[in-house]
Amino acid sequence: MTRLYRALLYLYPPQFRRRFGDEMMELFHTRHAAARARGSLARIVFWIGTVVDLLSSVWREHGPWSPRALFISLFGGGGANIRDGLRFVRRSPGVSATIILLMALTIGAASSVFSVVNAVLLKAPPYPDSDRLVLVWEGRPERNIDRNVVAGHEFPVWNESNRTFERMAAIWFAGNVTLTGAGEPKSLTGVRVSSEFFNVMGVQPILGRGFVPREDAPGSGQVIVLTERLWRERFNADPAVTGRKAILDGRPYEVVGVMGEGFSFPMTSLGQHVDYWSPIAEPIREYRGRHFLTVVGRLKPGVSLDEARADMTRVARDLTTEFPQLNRAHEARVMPLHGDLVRDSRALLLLLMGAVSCLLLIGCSNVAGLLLARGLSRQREIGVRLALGGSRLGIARQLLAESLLLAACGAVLGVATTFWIAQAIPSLVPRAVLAVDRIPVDVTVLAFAIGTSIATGLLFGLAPALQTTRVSLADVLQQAGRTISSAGHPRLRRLLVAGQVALTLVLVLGAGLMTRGLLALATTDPGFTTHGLLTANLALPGASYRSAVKQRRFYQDLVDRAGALPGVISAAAINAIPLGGSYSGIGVDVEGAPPPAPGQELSARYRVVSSDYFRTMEIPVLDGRVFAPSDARIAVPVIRWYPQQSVPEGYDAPQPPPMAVINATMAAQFWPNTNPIGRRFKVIFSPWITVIGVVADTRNESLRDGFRPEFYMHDLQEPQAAMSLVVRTAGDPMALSASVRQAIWSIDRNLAIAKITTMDDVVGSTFGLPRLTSSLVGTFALLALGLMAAGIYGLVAFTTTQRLPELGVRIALGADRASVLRMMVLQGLTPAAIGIAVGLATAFGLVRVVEDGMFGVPPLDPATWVTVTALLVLAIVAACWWPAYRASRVDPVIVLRTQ
Amino acid sequence: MQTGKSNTTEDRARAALPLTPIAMHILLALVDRARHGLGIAQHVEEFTDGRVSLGPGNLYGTIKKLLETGLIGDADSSADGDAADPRRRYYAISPVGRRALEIETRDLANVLNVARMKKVLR
Repeated sequence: MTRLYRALLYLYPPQFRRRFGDEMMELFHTRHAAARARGSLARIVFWIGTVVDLLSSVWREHGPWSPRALFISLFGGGGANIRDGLRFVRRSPGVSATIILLMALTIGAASSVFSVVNAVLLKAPPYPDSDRLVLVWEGRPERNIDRNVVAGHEFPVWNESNRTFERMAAIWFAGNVTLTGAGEPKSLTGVRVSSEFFNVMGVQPILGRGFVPREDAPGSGQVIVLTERLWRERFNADPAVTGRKAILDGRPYEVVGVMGEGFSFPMTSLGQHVDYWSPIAEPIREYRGRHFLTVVGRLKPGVSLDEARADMTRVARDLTTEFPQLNRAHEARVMPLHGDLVRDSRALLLLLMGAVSCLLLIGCSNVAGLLLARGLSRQREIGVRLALGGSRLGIARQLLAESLLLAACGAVLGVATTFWIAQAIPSLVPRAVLAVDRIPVDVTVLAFAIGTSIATGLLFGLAPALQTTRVSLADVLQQAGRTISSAGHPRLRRLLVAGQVALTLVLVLGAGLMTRGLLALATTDPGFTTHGLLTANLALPGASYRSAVKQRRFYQDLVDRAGALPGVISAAAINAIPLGGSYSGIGVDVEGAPPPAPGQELSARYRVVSSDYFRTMEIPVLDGRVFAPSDARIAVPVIRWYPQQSVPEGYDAPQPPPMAVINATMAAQFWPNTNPIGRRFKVIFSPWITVIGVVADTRNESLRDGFRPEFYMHDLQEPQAAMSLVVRTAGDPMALSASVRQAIWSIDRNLAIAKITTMDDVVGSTFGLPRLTSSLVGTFALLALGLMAAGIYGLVAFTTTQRLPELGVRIALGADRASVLRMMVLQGLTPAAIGIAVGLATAFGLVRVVEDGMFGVPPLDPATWVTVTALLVLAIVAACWWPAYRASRVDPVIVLRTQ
Repeated sequence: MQTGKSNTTEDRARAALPLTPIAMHILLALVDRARHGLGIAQHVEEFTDGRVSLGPGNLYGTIKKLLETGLIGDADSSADGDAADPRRRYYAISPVGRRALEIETRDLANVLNVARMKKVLR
């Protein structure tokens, strides 16, 4: 960086540089070091500032003959050259249009990807002093868990005994509720927050107020703050909305405030917008060991991340002392809010940025190749101008002005494309991935586009300009009437072709690996039959379905009615639909097992299903039996979350024992070498749960990950308020959506149905991101392949045309046409071979970095490497062969006559 | 006016007016003592709470201009007399510079008074 700045100092007049250069370097150095210490954003700001400072002062220092002088020093004759450039554009519209389109395409693609990088990675979140905002997670180093949600008893202690935070707030994703009394029933996403939440974020409501501590006390909290969107959609943007009542799940809540547009923090893990906030208002301190809180904090001014981490480590250690069992080896992890929000998209975006940069370079080197070829056709003109006393520098400047003119045209088109693409992106990419709503094309993006255009225009215009003017006068004048074969051009073009081949190989290989990963994913068997399944997500409002018994009755009724619909084979319910994005985990104690070593505690995923679930999903039963309607318990639910929770009614009456069906992995891990049927286990504060059956493993969370221990509970024993209906149909599942909707509303007219969709779509949506990435990279790779082939074709066509007279003589003297063909093909193959070697080496080095983007395919997958290399060789040979073949067919008589 | 004495401090100071904001900051930084370029930049950043950050190009461009118009001088050049010395160079405000700063700040003070009177500033 220091060297770059020293080089830039050469833009100043020599006198100024000699007098002040060293001192300027010193100041630059100090500033640069300070900016580096403050992170990547500060560095970017620093560089922008430096460039502005440089440009404005260089301009001035060039004294009284500036600014025109500066322009002239860069572009030579200024207006005259631009006029010449325009004349050239008019004279050869084909080449010019090709160059402009190439530039537009590559700059448009690069700027579009950059606009996303800018919006997601470079822009700070829109909260005051957002660099002081952090998320605090629970970490469990022994089990390799970095970002666990925080337990009810931990947050209050963290909040009270830290010394580095100005404020801390807890967030509880409460799930969906139904809004009634404001238009149609609507399913809303709410979050419950502790009363300091809005103060932590530093954002105040545009109407009314945030929450006060009193409202966060257990038992109160019947107040909500609306998002601007909900206020507009459902409350007609009523300026007097505060004090009005909103009915959520049948209970009245008083609206106390409305947040401004654009504030919708936090986003749920599924990328849903928040609709409203309400206070937590529960005795969370007593919910010991129940992990459900997300903690956001604002650091005190001047407190560094490291200080906060040290402080929270102390707090966590004290908690472990206080709760040696519950908090054994629990740590607190402080993560910057912005970094935490974009952690999933960072690798992906950098991968895309890398891919599009490859494309940019390939496109630009094609432009350079075209400029070189064009320069050659003008060599006679240039030779004559040189002979008449024209300065070489002047002519080079003119050529450069032309290429910059073309680059500028391309840039304008490219920027227009960027505007268009940036607008379309948010609707194409899952919100959970991007973490932003809008991709603005702002000054930074424009600066990137313009800077890239100028840089590429200079870089890829300069070399051809210098090359073209390096002609020997004698050659030009001697060989008047012929084109001149100057050794310099082919060497530069060969270099360009080798570079293109190397970049293309890297890009195509990346696309190949991704596609293979995607195919592997698409052909993964989830363990159940996805085809012919309809799903509907439901949530019962708490007011009318408060008791577990009522919830159970509703779903039992629903499953019965849905199962009786014509065209339905069977119907069932599950609380978290497979591959739907949510899951629950819970600690497990196995009866008779020795107490686990610290950090070796068992845990398992669990889902709650109705009797016919396994039959409906076609999950094979491996051992024992699955749930039956006769397993219903009087005392529901089975699981108690904290010791003070009351025991359900009828607990001591004679009834079926609590029971579970487990998957094969749980059977193998928790009861190795024994039959698990009849064995018992406990979760948190539950009674003993008996294993009654073993079913095959299913991929419930992700198609990519391996199987985890998982058990199922019966909804007649552990009723749920929110479940999804799954219906196996004989024909097209969507054809039944209307009658399923009717069946739901025949039980309760006021239910909001979140979504009716097919299981195939649910599974398909889990590929959304991999599919998007690989189709983008695949498009870039295809473009690159085409550009590379064009580049090679151009090189071979160019050299054969140049050597046509020589070939004519060879053939006239009896040379074998096949050997001529071979000779000319080798013209293209040699640089391509070098390119392939370089490309393979580069790719080998790179795969380690991008391993994560490959969706589980080993990055050194031999089939992909061989296929991609073969594909490239094929394209290269085809591109070489055609012009070489034409050259070998020349009629020597015609060639020699034209000489 | 005093056309015969165009070389007086007063005339040279008036000829240098108006001062650019950067020039004013540099002169203010040099009022209490001589500083080198980096010192000037740091001082300015400090007393403006980081709002004014002088880039190398603009800082030394302005220093050059101030040297040319005689508002500042090389502080050590008379002591060392070694212009080729690569060590840091110190700059000091000259009587002309001090006078120019005085005139300019007095004008600004008048503007401030008017602004206060009209309740633009409180």
